[in-house]
Amino acid sequence: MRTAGFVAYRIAGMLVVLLAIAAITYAIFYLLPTNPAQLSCGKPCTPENLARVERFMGYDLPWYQQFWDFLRGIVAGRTYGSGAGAVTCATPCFGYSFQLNTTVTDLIVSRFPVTASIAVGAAAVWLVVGVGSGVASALTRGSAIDRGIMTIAIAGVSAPSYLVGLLAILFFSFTLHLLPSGGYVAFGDDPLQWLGHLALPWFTLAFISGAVYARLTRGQMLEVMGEDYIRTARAKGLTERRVVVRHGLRNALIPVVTIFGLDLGGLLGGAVITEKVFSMQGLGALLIDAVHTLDLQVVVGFTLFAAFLIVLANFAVDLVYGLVDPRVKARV
Amino acid sequence: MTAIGSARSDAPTGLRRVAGRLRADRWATTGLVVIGLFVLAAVFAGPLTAISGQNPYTYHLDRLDDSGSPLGFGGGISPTHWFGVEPLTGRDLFAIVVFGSRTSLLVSVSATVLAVVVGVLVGITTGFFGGWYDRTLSRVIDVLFGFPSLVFMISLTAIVPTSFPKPLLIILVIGFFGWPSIARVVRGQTLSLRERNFVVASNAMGGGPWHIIAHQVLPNVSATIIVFATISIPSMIGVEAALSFLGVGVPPPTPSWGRTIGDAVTWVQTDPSYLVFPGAALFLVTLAFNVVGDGLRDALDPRRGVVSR
Amino acid sequence: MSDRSAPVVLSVDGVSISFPGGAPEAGRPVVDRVSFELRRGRVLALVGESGSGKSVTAMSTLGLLPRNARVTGSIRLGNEELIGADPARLREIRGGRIGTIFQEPMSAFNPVLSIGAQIGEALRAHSKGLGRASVHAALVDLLASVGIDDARRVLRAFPHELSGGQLQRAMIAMAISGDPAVLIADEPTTALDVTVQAGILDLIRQLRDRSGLAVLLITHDMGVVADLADDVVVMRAGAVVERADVGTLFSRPTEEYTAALLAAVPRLDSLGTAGPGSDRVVIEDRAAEPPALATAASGHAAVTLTNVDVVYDRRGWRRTGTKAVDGVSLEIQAGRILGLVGESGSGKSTVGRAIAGLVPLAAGSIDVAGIDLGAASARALRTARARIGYVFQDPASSLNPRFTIEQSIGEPLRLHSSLDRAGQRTRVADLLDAVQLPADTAGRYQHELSGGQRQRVAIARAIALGPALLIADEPTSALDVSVQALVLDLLRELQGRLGFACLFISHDLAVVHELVDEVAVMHRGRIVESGAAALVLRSPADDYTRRLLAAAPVADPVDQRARREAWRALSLAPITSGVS
Repeated sequence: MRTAGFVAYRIAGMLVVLLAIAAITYAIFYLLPTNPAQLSCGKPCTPENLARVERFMGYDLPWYQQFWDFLRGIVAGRTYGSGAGAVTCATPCFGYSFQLNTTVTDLIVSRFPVTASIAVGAAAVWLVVGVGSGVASALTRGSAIDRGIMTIAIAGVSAPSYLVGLLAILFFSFTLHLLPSGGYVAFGDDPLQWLGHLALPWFTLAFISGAVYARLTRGQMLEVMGEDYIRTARAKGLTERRVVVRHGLRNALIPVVTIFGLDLGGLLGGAVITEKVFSMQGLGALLIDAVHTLDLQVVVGFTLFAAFLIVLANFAVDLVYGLVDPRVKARV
Repeated sequence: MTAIGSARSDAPTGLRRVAGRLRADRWATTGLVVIGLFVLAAVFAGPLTAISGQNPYTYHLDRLDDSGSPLGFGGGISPTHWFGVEPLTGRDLFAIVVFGSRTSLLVSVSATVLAVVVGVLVGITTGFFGGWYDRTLSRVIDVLFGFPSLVFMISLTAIVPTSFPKPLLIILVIGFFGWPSIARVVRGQTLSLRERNFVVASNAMGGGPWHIIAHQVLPNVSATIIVFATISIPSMIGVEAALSFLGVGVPPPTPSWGRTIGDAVTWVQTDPSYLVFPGAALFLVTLAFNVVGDGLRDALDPRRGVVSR
Repeated sequence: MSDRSAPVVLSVDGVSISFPGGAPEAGRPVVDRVSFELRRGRVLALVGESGSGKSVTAMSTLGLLPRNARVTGSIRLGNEELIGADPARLREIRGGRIGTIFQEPMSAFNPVLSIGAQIGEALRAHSKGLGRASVHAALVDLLASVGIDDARRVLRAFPHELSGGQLQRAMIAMAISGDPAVLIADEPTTALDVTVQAGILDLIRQLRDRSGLAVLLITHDMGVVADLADDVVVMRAGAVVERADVGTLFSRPTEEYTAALLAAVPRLDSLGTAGPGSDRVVIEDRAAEPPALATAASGHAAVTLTNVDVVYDRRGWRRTGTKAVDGVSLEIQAGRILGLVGESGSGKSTVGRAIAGLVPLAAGSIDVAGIDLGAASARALRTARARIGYVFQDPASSLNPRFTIEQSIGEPLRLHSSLDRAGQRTRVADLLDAVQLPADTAGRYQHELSGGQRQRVAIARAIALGPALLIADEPTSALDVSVQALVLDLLRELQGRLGFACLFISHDLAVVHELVDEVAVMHRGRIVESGAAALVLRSPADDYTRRLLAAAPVADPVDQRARREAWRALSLAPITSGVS
């Protein structure tokens, strides 16, 4: 199948998934007995007040109308209430926080740089370190290096990131006074400070996943190096370096790319935990605060946003996968 | 090179042999012992803490100074408080850790059982029957697999009415997000088993689908299921602890390692042992399960590993 | 072909190989003091059954054994000692002085790189500083020299986009890209169909004659040896049993083992005299009426297929169904054996599966022992299946690894008979006896048995209910010839004693010829010819059958030369039955 067809097929699939996720999220969060209007109407909550809030938020409409408004809000924006008190929520509208009096989209946009800085940096660190040490381990199979890397790796997969983070703070911040123990400085304000504040969070978040990738890469590498085409490559008289990189690593990385796509969701979850450890005001902190104040619009909006983000990222990884492995397109 | 492949891929994988190989694995044996100790501690948490006359609920404010920090060495370690006491409340940390293992193991094992039952059911049936049923569920699995599940779990704990028992909710939520991975593995195995001649033969001789699933497929995926259950327990433990760490897990005063570690964040400079004991317990039990899981996998597949650590 | 005093290119002298550590039989040499010489322009065949050490020997000349291998003795390329040679020098030799072809072309190519990239890499490794354009030109020339016409397309293609035959030709192009003196061909045609195999063998022969290559051919197939080899070395359990030139070996083997090995190879009659031209009438005949089965045998039909179509759905974006079986009509009389022959993808196995009710019919009907499978109730279908026994190709996957042999053989009894446990046990013991296995086999597991023993167990299971029809799908192709002969004997004996009808599916014409009464030849889902085995296999009427027969190598150098000529003539002749 041609590349255009392949991409079209994947886009169609992605849209179906997005719609399904929106429907399920909506169903779970709005059909459960907890009444969001009740939570937003303040105390004391008189029946008149409640009715007014419900009308304002659109909860008096039948469920299909509500779901439609909800979907339309994402692609076309929406307006809550009418007249002077009306609130507009621009595209893409993931909801409106009546507690913070701002749109969920604005909240997400303001917090996004923090979380993105943590997640992207950590992913880069874990890919480089994880894949690198996995390959090193596979090539020196059975040696002291292999044992050393694998021992660290199994400890790594067993150590929760917050534990690693707290120990890192204890050591690097409180004992050595090398790095700050928390907080965030925007890259635009001071790039060096940005880096300093992110070094520990990156290390913390990358530790566990890097360990997972080291183990995965090692296993894949060992398997691939036993394949027939490796023998062919050697029989051609290629240098060992070329055999390992071009024929071994290239194939061993294919499943790693798949797993990376699947780990993006986990990366977001990991960022939430990391933010709490290093007291950073990112999306995770936003979510946790919203959960504690029962600001359901934020909870739902953010959840949906996170799901969309991950589905989009998975889509990108899928396309990359199609480039890395020529057999994929034939299989569609 | 037909003669070189002496490690045969169809080597026996009977449970007895696996157990034999596992026994020969020093690390895995140690891991099993550690797990055993934690299980014993969880089961006999009451009698164990009664030795020093403690429980995880009683406040000992006399053990604290004016700022709420524990008095004495290592967070108040003493003959009565083996791991010291909790800052601000003075509750016995040893009792909290011991009872915490009960929470941790109960939640993770229940969630694993749930995930394994659903995952195996879905995995075997999708792999075996195929068609639209398989295509739809496989897509669901794909989506759930890459899902920001922790974010979803956190959100759900806010939405579900407080009248719903929280520990049960945690188990259900963790189990729900756990089944896709096992379903995927079991489905893959079932797909390849379905093409194997003994399954085709059973079909050809008139065995019905459920006969084939029960007698031909299930016995051949059981080993995978056991390994998978073993390696998913530590990740379940991790998720439960993470939720509690974030303050949306098992509600207080039920002891939980994750919550204690979360509370320790603010005390890490003044009272590190508050972090160290529950942290070490969490790390140890996770490590033990991972090591045993590795050992099991190597024992089942002699081609892998050889030297894995 | 050059004479046997041609200069020696590669000499292997007293080579022993062992793998210390690991396996329980460690330390015992896998190869034990093997010596032979490769001469310019001659093909030396290294022959033996599985485990004879032939592949390990070949890999040792390239220095490509696993790291823990211990090699002693001497391997000399010209005057240069290869054992213990400098790795950099060995790399120059691999792909430079010694080219190699492997068995499975599909797995021997890297799946994520294009063919052009992979061959180009070999080219560049041995002639540094080649420009992009000159590499491309050299690649096109190389592919043309191995008989690939659309070289440009093949160079851009990935391995999964090409057929096995094209891949193996590309592999040969890669092997000769460094202009080597020695070509090692490790079972080069084992994974290929016979008509493709004939072309590849012809190509290797041309290379030998054209460039004076010394070829080391590793094979288990005596037909291939007879076709291509000049000299033969027979190996068994790591040691050389006999060495001779090919004529002498086949006509006067001196060792008992060689003689037994040759005797075990199934034979085909000499090709019939029906040359091209005399068959035209027959083909037109056939076009007029669909191939009806010879009904020489009296008695009722055990199974009847009428105009059966089987369509495989290809799921995905655009649904396109492929007709795996196309308008097949067949009849097998009770107590007769029908051989269904064809190459891979011809649909022969699908016919077997359709009869067992494993794949749905798109059209037509199948009648087994008086039950119409299409119209039957679920209950009647179960009864029909109880009357069918099935034996598969791969003995390793035929038996559930978690079952004891007794459980495996007892499964049909549990499903369909009213026997109690003790009754089942007695029956299993009888069945084991019938397939000549010791009674204590019952309590063992499949991994404790050899391939031949497993296949006996599979046969015992298939006949457990006293079937009306036994479907045997390539039951011996995974076995060594000596084992194959025994299993075929067993099948023949059981069929004679129990009188079931048998559908024997095979790609191997010689095996079919030894066993069956009638033959049907399949090609691209259709039956192109059918009739009494003696008739069809001696004087085929259909073009495709004739090609198939001519392409099948026989274990006799003289006879094989005649076949080769016939095959060449046919492959040049215009095609009338749809071979492209």
